[in-house]
Amino acid sequence: MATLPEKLHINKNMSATDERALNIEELTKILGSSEEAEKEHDNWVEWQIEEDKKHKAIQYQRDRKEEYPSIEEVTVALAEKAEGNSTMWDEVSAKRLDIKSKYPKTI
Amino acid sequence: MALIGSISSTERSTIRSGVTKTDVGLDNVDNESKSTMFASPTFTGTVSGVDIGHLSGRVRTGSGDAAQLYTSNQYWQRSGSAGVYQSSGSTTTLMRFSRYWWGSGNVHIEIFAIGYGPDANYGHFLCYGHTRNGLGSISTVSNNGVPTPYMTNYNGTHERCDVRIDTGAYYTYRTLFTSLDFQHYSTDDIGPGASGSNSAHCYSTAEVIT
Repeated sequence: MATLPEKLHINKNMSATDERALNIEELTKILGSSEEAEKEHDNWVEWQIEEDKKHKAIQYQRDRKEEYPSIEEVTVALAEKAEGNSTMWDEVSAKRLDIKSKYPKTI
Repeated sequence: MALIGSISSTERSTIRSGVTKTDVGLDNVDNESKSTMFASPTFTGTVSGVDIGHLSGRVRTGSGDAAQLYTSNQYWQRSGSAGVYQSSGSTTTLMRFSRYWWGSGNVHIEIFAIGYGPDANYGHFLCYGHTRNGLGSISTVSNNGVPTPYMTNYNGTHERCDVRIDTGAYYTYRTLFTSLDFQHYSTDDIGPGASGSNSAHCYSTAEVIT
């Protein structure tokens, strides 16, 4: 039974052979035949690895978004600052800096 | 008394003119076309042999602008059958989640704060990503004050994880799960090597049919 080259073996909780068999099973559902799945397997897996890299590279953006002050908070802080009270704006700015530092840019 | 041929007779019988259905014991029988004979029927037993294909109007399986009843099990909506409530504050597992590396579908979780206190907070979250080699992802679509669910308890053998929520004492929440292109299983043994990939099990829920 065919196995996976190490660079394509992603789930270390299962053997490379089992992982490839699972990939073929799932690909067959999409491509319609096991022959096509066998033919496309390596390209498909390499594509997924690249997609994972791209997804991971901007994880910091998703993490920051979850914790940033809301647009409503920022808007009120700006309005208060325009009216002469910068307390809230300073808090919002400090919070944003903390979050940026917690989730630094990776690209 | 109607005069008809003898039961044992092979000759053609003739009913004398003027005989009524009451005369022959058929008082409850109407003479009507087969195509209209079941107008507004009242069935007294269990009706079988009728499925979605026999229905028309606002419920249909074909294309068009009428409302459709989704019969695919890839679309489902489930509601928590009881509120998420912990008297001392605790963790509740809402769902088990498995999405293949190039999997399809996702699950939306809506959380409604229903008690106690004056607030009626609400949160809408999206479960996505994949569980090939680790936890999937949850993003916040909107949230004005409910606890954010998180993924944990990864199982690499079956490429699945749990979605949990930490709740404060006395707060009560109701949950609603909606999915497209995910299979829901009645047990939590989901994922590759178990029930199948691109699947979920929502604990203590009942299907909602809208």
